[in-house]
Amino acid sequence: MKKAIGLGLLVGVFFAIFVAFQGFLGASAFYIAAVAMAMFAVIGPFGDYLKTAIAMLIGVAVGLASMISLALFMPLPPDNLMYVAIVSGVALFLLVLLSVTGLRIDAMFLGWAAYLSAIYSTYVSDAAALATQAAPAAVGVCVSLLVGLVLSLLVIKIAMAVNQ
Amino acid sequence: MLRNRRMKQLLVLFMALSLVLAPALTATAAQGPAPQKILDNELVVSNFGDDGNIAEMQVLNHLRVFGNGTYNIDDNSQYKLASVRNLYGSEKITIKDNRLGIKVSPKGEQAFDDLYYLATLDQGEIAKINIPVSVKLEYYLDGKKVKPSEMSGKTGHIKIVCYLENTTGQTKELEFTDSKGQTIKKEAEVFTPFVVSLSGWEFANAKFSNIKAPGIAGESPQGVLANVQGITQVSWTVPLVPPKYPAKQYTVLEADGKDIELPSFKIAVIPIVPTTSEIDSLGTVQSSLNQLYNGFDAIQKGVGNSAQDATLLFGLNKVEGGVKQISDALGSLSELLLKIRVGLMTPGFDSASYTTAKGSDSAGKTPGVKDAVGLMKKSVDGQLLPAMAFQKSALTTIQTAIGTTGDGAVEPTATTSIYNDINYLKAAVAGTPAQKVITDSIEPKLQAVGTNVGAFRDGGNMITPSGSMAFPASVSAVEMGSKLLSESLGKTDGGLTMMVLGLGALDASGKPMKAMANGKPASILYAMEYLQESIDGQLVPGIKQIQEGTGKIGSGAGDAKEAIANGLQTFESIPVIVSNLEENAAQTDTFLGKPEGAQGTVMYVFQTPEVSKQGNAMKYGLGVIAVALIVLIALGRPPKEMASAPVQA
Repeated sequence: MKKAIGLGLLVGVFFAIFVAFQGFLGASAFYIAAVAMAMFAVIGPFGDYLKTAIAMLIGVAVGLASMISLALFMPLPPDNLMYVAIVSGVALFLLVLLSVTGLRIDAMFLGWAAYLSAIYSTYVSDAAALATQAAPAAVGVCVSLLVGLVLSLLVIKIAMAVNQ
Repeated sequence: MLRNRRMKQLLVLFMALSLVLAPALTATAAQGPAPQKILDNELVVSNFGDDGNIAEMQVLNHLRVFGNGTYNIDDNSQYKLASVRNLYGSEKITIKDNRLGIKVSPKGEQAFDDLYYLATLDQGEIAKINIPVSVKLEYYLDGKKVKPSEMSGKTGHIKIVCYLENTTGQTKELEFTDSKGQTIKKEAEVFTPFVVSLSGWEFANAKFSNIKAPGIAGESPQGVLANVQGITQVSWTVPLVPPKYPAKQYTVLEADGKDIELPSFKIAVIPIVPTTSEIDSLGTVQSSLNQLYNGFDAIQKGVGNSAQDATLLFGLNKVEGGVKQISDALGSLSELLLKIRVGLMTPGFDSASYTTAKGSDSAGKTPGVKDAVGLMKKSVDGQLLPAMAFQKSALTTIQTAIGTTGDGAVEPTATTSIYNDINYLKAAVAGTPAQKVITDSIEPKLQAVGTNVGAFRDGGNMITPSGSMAFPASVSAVEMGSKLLSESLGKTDGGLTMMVLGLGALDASGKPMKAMANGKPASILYAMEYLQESIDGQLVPGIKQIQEGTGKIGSGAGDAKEAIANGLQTFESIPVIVSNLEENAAQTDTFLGKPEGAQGTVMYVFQTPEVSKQGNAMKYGLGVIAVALIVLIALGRPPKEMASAPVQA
């Protein structure tokens, strides 16, 4: 029980520090880090966290490309649901194709979804703002995901050390 | 197999027909019926760069096409475009020779189709574009001019000055009817009216305090501040509508900021003649100006000129002439009085050296009246009266020598009287004829001589052979008359002295000497001179100054009239100016260009660069990504034995 409390405190403090500095790092969607942390459950203690991180980054990159395509080459909201559907479908199709290279499909989906959750509302309300916000949002989402993943790694490593 | 072959043949036929018919179909569409109406609304968006110049210009164009069918809209662009993008639809927009081709198909109940496209101007075109309203921004941090990006994350007093200028002024001849019914043609600079709205400039209260948006009358409008939910919003409305508002104005925002970040501010420029709820007092002012004009007109006419009868200047001219005549007359009068004064008493005349033979004194000066009277009195007193006394004395001596009839007959001596000697002689010749001669002839004659000598001296009756007669011309009477003459001459001299004193003393050159008493001239001659000097030295110049002053009043009234007339003309020209403004505003309906026959509107929006720490955040974020990847490389890779372990079946 004591170990669990100590582990929980450690993770909680790390996460709180991240949240406190999220503005400084441009990671406005800090809650994505919590989702990334949950990945330790599927990656496991001996999983390839680096490959997962790379898959997440690729997912973010595809999400960024999706939003750029939507913003620059497709009709803008509100009457563009068909185009959003097409672009989303193509993006996920690409991710599935990429998964054959050994990249984790779940991590890529997570990266793609995390980026869209951070930027899609901006796209709907003010598509022109994407010109200045798309890239910083991508960096912010990557920070959140990687910090979450690092924290999940730490959690699993500490848990393993404690259990041994 | 056969079926596939037929399909291929049909496909080839369709493609061939398409190639042949496509141009014809396109031409039919292009030459088809024109749409009922086209509305072309443009929003020109200019983004400022960090250096204060416009870095990018885009035009958001909203086309609304009314009709029922398919139309090819040909939209002009007077500037070279870098790109055109259909924002909300999938219709293709083509660009050829700066002409945009758009196919729209309004259908259904609405019977119109909306199309929004975003045209980005070529960078090379931006410098050539003459924007009707010049917008320039200056940023200051602690009084020092800085670029917006240099404020990011800093702390200090910020000042943002936005300079706005309507550059559309063009000289135009306005024609209108004034209050007197005359047609006036007046040149005036007529602008296209623009209202600039700087609204929703937001400043987070957590970062900014002492937010002010001061104004200066006639130069800079004051901003309106609204503090809502932790954010202070500042807004200005700047009408650049001459002549009512200046064509050149500026806004000022000042605040104390910490860890400064600013959003992109928007400055909207709209061509419009603003209608406000301001109470229009122009009618009252115009009426007052009319009255003022009439007042100045009356003043100008009253002042008139020196040749115009019944005017102030004419009257003053007459007064000046009259005063000069008085001065001349005073001069003549003064000269004549001076002559009288010299005639009364010769200046420097020496009566002691006066000789009758020469008729002048030793200096050759002839005596004046007073001098002559003096000489006369001196002569009476010094010569005539003593001579009279001597005459009387001589006559008394004669009478004593004659003696009286009762004188005793003593022996005659040198001192005995004639009567004594006759009485002695008569006694000596008593009884002789000689006694009878003495008694009858000598004694009566001697008695008559004695009586006559007495009468000659003192007056009375003088005995003559024909009898006794009164003798008024006795020496005593002459003496008395001479005394009376002397007294009269003395009084005359006194009177003349008073006249001389009244006329005033003369200096050696014969000019009146200055004589003042109690601050006033004390002699007639000096008073005349004083009066003439006052007239010539003060009154005439004073009148001239009054004339000049009056002339200035007249010319001032004329200038005021002219100015008021101009002002009145301005008032009277307001309806024409407003009409021109409205016309110009209506004509300002496009920036990029519009389809032929389209009704257009245009609006400009200038966007300031955002001042944020996002750049730094990205740097730090990328750093964190790198660190995270390093950590994952170090710790996040599976153990090799795990990776190389064979898969358990």
